[in-house]
Amino acid sequence: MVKFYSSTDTYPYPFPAVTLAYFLRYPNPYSTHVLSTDTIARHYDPDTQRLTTVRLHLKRSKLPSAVLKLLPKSLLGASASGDTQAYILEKSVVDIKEGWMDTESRNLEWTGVLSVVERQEFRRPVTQAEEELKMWQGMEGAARRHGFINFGSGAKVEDTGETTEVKSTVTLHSHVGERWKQRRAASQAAG
Amino acid sequence: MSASLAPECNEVKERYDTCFLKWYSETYLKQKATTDECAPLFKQYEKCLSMALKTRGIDKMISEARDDNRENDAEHMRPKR
Repeated sequence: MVKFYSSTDTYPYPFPAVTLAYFLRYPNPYSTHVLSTDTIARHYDPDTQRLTTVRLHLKRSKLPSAVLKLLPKSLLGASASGDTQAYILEKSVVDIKEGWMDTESRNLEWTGVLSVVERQEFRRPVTQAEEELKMWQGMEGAARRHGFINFGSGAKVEDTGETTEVKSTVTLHSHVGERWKQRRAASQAAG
Repeated sequence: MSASLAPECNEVKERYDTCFLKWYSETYLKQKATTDECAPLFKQYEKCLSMALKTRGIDKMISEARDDNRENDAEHMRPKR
C-alpha cells in the first residue's frame, strides 16, 4: 500500500539562505521533539561544487494507541505513555553553481511496517526570470526617481525579490497490507 | 547548535559545526570553495560518533539503510535539468 503527497511552494528568500536554513533548522522552539542531530558523512566535490551531507536525527514520537496495544512495551522500549524515539536518516545534495538542493529523509526503524520518505527539491528560479525581475525593478526605480510612482515609503526593508521554488513529496509505504494480500491470495490459490 | 545523540561527542561536534557553518556561509555559498576546510575537524567528530553509534548498535542499521538506498539516491539525488 502506497500513499503519496505532493506540494509546491515559493519561499520569499534567496536560494543560498534557504539551503543554510535547511542545515540550521534544528534546534528550534517549534520542534522540541527533535532530540539530536549528527552529521555522519559529508563530501565536497571541488569539480562540480556539490556538497553531499548525510545526517542522523533522533526524534521523540508518540505511537498510535492501536499499535501500542498490539505490541509489548518491552519490544518498543516505550514508556507507559507511548513515547518512543525514532531515528531519521537525512541525505542532501547542494549544487550552488547550478542552484539546486535535493533532500531526502526516511525512518530507519519499523520500515517493514511503515516507511516514510520525505523529499524536497529546492530550486533557484531560472536566470531569465531573475533578469526580468531586475529589469522591472530598474524601471520601477527610474519611475520612482521621476516621480511617476510615489506610493510606498523607502523606510520599508528592501526586498531583493529573490525567491526559491520548493517541491515537497511524502511517500508512505506500508508492507503490512501487502502481507495480508499475499496471504489471502495464497489461501485462495490453495482452497 | 543542535546536540549530538552522544553527549560525549558534543564538544567535538560543536567545534566542527561552528567551522562548517562559517565555511558554508562565507566560502561555499559564495562559490569560493576549493576544499572542505573543516575536514580535519570532521574526522575527529566522526571518530567519536562512530564509536557511539557502534556501542548503541545503530551503525548496522545505518549502513543497511544507506546500502538499500544507493539506487534510489542515484535516481532521486540528480538534478532534473
